[in-house]
Amino acid sequence: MITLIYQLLREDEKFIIESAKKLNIELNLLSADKLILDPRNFQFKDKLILNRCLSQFIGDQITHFFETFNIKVINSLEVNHLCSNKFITSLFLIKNNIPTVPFLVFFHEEMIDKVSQILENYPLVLKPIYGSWGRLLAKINDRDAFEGIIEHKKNLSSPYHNIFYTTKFIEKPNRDIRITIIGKKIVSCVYRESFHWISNTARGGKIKICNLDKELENICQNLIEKIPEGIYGIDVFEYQNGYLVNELNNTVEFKNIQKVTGVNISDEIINFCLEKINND
Amino acid sequence: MFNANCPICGSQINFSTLPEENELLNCGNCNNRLVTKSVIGNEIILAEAPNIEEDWGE
Ligand SMILES: Nc1ncnc2c1ncn2[C@@H]1O[C@H](COP(=O)(O)OP(=O)(O)O)[C@@H](O)[C@H]1O
Ligand SMILES: [Mg+2]
Ligand SMILES: [Zn+2]
Repeated sequence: MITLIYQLLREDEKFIIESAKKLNIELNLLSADKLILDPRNFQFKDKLILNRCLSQFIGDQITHFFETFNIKVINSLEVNHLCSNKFITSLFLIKNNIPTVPFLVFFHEEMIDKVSQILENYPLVLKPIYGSWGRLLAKINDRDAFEGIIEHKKNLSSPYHNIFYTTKFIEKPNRDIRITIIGKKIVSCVYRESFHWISNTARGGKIKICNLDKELENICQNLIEKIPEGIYGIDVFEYQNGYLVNELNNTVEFKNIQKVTGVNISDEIINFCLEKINND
Repeated sequence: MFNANCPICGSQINFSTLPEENELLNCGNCNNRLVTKSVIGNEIILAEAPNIEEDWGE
């Protein structure tokens, strides 16, 4: 029925396996290490792929391959494309009038004074356009730091480190909000509390239940209308009595949210897969 | 009951059911992150979990 493609089976994937068992759905496990994407000998018997690869690049190739042969993949290539590059995500948010953090991209260190002026002064945050778990984010408190970090980034090997995606630093409380969206549904909403300005749970942020108010619900409903259907983790900042959507995440990690809220996100994932299969 | 030895500290790790390939686990003794490298018949081979790559994560 469903094939789960993975690289490492984490607690999240084990929850999904458990849900499939409980709901009596046939779920076949396939390790990406065992895959050969050979278009001349294409064979596949299941109706849908749940792609849970840890590597964004590997996951993308797999999704592209199976979609070419008209196999449904969750998340779709369209969702991957929207989420994996932070600049593309930001452009999407601004185009669709979703409140977001002021951002820009530049390519040369000569621009730093103009950039700090446009973003209304320091602190700023410099992020790799591809990245996750709060890695390689830099909070820039002044011009000297900006110069130094740009020089370091220019010496990193991947070409995408020469794309200087820069955002305003948002003075938020010691927490972010993480919303999980599956299909058309808001499935969960939690705070990630942390004393560090980077509050990813992968870096020790603690999860607490958050009640969605009307304003945030409206923002989410608006977003749901605009995004291609899929499984998303939405990062939101509280800012000046309102909200800013920071980013959209693909291949969502939910084990801690599931434990704290009691919301069975893995059941929701399996049900969403079934819905997609039956929509044929 | 199935078991295998931790490749780092050597202590025995027990499994109530056979694990899947590339399943993550922690050694109860040394607390290192391990992964099941292969499961052939009832034989489970464990290895140290791989390092985090640049493009990993949600
Ligand atoms: N502009 C910002 N202002 C304040 N905090 C930020 C900003 N950008 C990121 N952060 C903090 O860093 C965390 C990780 O940043 P994020 O953009 O979500 O990247 P990642 O993909 O690594 O999760 C956020 O959840 C938030 O706590
Ligand atoms: Mg994030
Ligand atoms: Zn050990």
